[in-house]
Amino acid sequence: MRAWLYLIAAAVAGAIVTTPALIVLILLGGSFDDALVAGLATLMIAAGIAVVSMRDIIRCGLAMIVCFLSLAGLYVSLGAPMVAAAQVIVYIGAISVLILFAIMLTQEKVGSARLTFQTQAAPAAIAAIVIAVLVSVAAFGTSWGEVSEHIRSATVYVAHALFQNYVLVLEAVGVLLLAAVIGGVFLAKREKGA
Amino acid sequence: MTLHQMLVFLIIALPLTGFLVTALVGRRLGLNAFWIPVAPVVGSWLVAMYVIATFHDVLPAGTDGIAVTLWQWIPAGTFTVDFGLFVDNLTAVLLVVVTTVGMLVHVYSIGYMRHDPGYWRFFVYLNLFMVSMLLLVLADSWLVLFLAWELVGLSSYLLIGFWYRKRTAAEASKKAFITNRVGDVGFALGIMAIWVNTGTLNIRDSIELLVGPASMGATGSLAFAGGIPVWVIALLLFAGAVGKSAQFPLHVWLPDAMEGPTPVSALIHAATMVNAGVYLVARANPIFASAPEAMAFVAAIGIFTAILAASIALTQTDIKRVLAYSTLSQLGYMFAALGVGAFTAAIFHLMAQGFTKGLLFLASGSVIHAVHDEQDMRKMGGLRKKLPHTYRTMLIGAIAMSGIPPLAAFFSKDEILGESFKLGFQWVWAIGILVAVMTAFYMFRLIGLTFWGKSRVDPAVEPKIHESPRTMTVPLWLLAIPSVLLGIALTWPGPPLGPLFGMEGEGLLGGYLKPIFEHGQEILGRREEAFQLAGIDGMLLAISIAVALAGMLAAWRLFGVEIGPIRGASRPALVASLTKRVPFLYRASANNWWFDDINNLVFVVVGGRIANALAWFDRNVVDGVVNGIGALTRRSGGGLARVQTGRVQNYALGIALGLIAMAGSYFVILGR
Amino acid sequence: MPNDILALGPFIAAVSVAIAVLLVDIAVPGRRGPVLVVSLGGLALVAALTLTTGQAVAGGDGTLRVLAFGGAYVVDGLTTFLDLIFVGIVAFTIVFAPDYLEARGLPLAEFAMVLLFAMTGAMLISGAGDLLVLFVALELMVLPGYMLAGYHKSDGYSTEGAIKYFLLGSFSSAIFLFGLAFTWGATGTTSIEGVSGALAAAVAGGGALAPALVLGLGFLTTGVAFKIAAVPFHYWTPDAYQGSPTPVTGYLSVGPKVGAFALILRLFVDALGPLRVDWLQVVIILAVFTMTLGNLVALTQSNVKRMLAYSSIAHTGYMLVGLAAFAAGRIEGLEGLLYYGAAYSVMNLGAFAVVAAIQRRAGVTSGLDTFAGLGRREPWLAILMTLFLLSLTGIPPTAGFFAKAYVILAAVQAGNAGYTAVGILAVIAVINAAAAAFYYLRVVVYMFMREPRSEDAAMAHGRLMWGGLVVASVLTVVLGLIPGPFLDIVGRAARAIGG
Repeated sequence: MRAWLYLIAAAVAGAIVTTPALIVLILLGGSFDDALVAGLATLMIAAGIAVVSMRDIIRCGLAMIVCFLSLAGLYVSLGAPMVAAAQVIVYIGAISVLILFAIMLTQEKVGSARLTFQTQAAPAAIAAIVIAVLVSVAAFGTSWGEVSEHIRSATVYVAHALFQNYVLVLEAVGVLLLAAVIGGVFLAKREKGA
Repeated sequence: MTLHQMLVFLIIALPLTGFLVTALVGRRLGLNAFWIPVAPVVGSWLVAMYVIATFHDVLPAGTDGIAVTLWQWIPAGTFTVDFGLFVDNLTAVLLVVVTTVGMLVHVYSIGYMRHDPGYWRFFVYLNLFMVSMLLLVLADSWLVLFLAWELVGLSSYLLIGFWYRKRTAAEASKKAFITNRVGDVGFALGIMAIWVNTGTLNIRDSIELLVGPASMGATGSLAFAGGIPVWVIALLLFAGAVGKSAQFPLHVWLPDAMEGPTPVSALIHAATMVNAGVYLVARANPIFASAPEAMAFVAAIGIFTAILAASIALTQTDIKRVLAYSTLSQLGYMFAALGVGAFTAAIFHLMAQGFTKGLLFLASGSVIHAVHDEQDMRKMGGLRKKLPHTYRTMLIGAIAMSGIPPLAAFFSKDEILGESFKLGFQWVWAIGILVAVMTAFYMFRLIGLTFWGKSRVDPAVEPKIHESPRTMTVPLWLLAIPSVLLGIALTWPGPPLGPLFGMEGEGLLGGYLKPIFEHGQEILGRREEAFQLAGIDGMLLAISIAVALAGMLAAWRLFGVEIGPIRGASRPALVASLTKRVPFLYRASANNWWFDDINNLVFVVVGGRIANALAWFDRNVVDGVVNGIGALTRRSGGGLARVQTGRVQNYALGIALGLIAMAGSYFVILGR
Repeated sequence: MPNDILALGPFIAAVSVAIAVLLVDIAVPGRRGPVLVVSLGGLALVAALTLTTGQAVAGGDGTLRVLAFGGAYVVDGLTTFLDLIFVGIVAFTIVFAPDYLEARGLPLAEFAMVLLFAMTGAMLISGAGDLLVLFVALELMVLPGYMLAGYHKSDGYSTEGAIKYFLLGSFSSAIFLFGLAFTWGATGTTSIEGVSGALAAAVAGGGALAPALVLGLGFLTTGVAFKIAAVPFHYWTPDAYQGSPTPVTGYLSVGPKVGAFALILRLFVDALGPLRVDWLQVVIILAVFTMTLGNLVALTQSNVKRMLAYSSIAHTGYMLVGLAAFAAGRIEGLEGLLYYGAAYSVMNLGAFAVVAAIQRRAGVTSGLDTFAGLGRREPWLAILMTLFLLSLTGIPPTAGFFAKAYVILAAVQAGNAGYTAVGILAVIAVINAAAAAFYYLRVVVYMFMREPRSEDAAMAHGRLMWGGLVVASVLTVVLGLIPGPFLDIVGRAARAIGG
């Protein structure tokens, strides 16, 4: 009985996610690329909503991974496979897994792993929608010029960017990570006798 | 740097050294601590006297004072400010008062504060005050003046609260500081306005730029050149003066300031600091002269304060409070004089009042000392025989203050009243005459209650009453000299004084201060008129003397008199029946016209509510963690649980809303 | 490239010092002597290197601007000035911390190290020539701050404050990054010079700006307003400040704040300079709210740390007045802002150092009661505290007075030159400065005019603490009394980007 319910839920979710893609493809006459972007974007938004609305914190973490995955997909479709790979490796491979482990380790076994719902969900939703509207108005109202040109995605350009134009940034990120690791170790270290 | 410039610097440097050294080592010196702080003040007095006596000989041609630039405080750029000092005739007059009274108060304190555990601390504060006050009168730039202004306030705050274990003293010091702060805002804004209009903060240059050079006389058009009207500047400066000189409506701090040790009351709250406002207005006289509306306002505030304070002084029972209200009233006179344009008269009264009131305060301190720190006059009486020196000097002060010729304050007060009448401010004169009656009355009420009649002193204290030591009585007599002679000395037009100083026919002070006030008088379009003893001046003089005598006689009739062979008993029953006839006025006077209650209601109750409401809002609506909720979440375990209490989400929502508002406002601003 | 490395010398040295402290702690664990020697000596070295680099690379008067790493890093008078301030802030914090930390069993080495990393971030901000560098540098500066806030691990309040600070800080960083992305999108470059040039062209060309840029401006302002704790983005301050260990609070109220102002100088003044008339209006409103609310709420606080937290908000407001005056065309506003930053750092760190010294014994709170009778218990500490509080109040002749006078006079000038709103801002600042006396002097009243609750014996304070306090107090007085030489440096730094 429950298995059926899950199946139906999955079907509904799949339909919701694929519908925009199909609309773009069939009704608006877009290319497959456009349909892919629409589908991934819908998936990302759906996963994002799931992250903030689900009550089980582990499921939230899993939904976040889905969200990151679809973002990686968007990067691929925009022609930036290197960035996509970095996204998968760093955000899904490292950060999300770390967060999930942290949650599982810190949660009490017996107690609920449930988030307390907030009373300001409604105003928060409104604020989020307003910001989204603002961003999209701004995005559509701007002529993006050269920035919107197709990114040259060959590895050699990425290397040039990282080690020539932005080498200082890269080094600074190195220092940042070092500081973070040291601080993290200090904070995670058990007190003597504790 | 010439010798005189060096000496001018020395006037401040000496007490500054005293302050620093005493602060560092004073604690170890115990009862010998007075040498280090007192000696520099005496030295400062000597140097000041020498400078005043000789600086005219070394003045470069075309200047009327010695300017000393110690260093460039703010270096060149769009605005430069020099840390400079300046001595001209007006400063010289103030220096005489400040250093003389300051020195005598220092000497007096050697004896007065001897039994206090904070002996050295007291001298540290006192020296700091001297430094600040001297800097105030010597300042050559508005910014330095403001610095001194704040320092004077600070040291006065420390001195009023000197006996901080007395709760009232701590409260009074706070009140003084806060009230002064209100005036300071006005002063600071005034300085800003001057700078906006002229681009300089040098006092002399800025005044010249504001109202045109002295030679041009009245130039109404120039007065508005810089954008901010001159009358606004005048009123803003006056706000500062109102705070420091305790004029209505910022007068409430001065009576409470009497909680400080008596030498402090004498030095700061009678002779020096409270005169700072008068000095400020006198210094800026061309600015005020260019704004007749502001002048009238100054006169009105001054004379209103005079009568308000005098009416309160009539019924006070605390000996120092009577003197405090009297000071307020006399300061009111000075502002009235400034307001009507009688600048010289104001400075004259400042000097006369400074010495006389200093004397009265120190004498009252001697009385308080003798009856073991009792300030209530209802518990005094009959002290005439036991404190002969104190009694005689205080009587001299009282007669002088009442305006009986030929003592100092008679001349100055009469000049104020006479000038007001002749310059067309008859209403100021009329109120002033009323105040003169009251002054004579309350001064002799004070003498009567304290020294005449039967003793009402606590029987336990009675046998121990004795005259104060030399260090205290000698300053009293020294102060009595100017209280008596200053008036004649400074106004006598004929020989030998006039010709000696080359100022025949106009009185010493008038001639001396002429260069300072010339500019202001010119703008006002005033001309000197000869004194007519047989005409209008003589008549006004007679009225002044008559009302002073009337006030004195009334007090004699009610509170008794014992001067040599003249004797009369006091009549408490008559006093009681008289007060019963005007219950409202009596209560109003005794309760200071309820000013403290009104202020308390407006500022403490209402203001406190507003601040608390804001704090509550910030704590519970925007913030809200530490007090209740934080403690609650503490019990619920690990860090993550705390985050889930919702506060962080609230904050984040706040930021998001702020972001929307911010983005929205940019769309509005840039939607051009 | 060698020249690039040379220009980056101070930054590299700072990172090396941080790592050296780490190594020292590994070699001789738990000893405070070596850590102090290495960190303070290293800081002296960094300061010296900063000075020589400034001289060698950017010329004697510092107005010359040298670009390194293809324009990603800039050395000019401003870089040198700000770097020196950061070194000073961190040095003071390290000097004031040991007594407090030791009493609570907290290690010094990690503290110094994390602080040094934060300093490297701040130094990178001051020399950032590229938006990306700016962002990474900002994160490098604030991330150690989160850790420091939670440094007292066994204290629930410390952890709570740290987590809040971290979550909200990250949120605001994300907003800031979003803004940077929009700016990049609208101008097509991440270089600060490029952005400034593109904006200048856009403004000169007339017509409406791209909506993305407008939105980006909103995001950037919000992010920065959070970092400097301007009202209404200040909520995190009281929690983070009160929960943190006192030396950390002192640092947090100064370091990240001055760092964020450095960010404003590089981003708003430099990159977004062509739009200054537009962001000026937002700055004015922020300044009014920030000064007034900070002051009013500080009035009602009965805990000194919390009072100082709110008052630090008010000080942000005064600094914004300087910024507004600059945006209205007065270079003096920028000078005032820089002077204010330095003066505020010294006096605020000094005040917090006294609070930390009083809390030397673990368990002593920072409530007003703790200060009762301090004037008799520990007169010197009380006198120094009074000096710092007077300076914070703005009473002459201290540095605080001069700083306030400078920004206010600059605003007056701007007001006189036609920017009436900035002139009104000056008046509001004067009134606020007057009101500040009430809560600062309340502490003085408690110290000198209240009986202590119990006769606590005076606590012994380390020589290091006294030395630091003396230096801070001397600076507080000297900066106010003879500001001339210092103003020269400030003027040069200001002209580097505003002249």
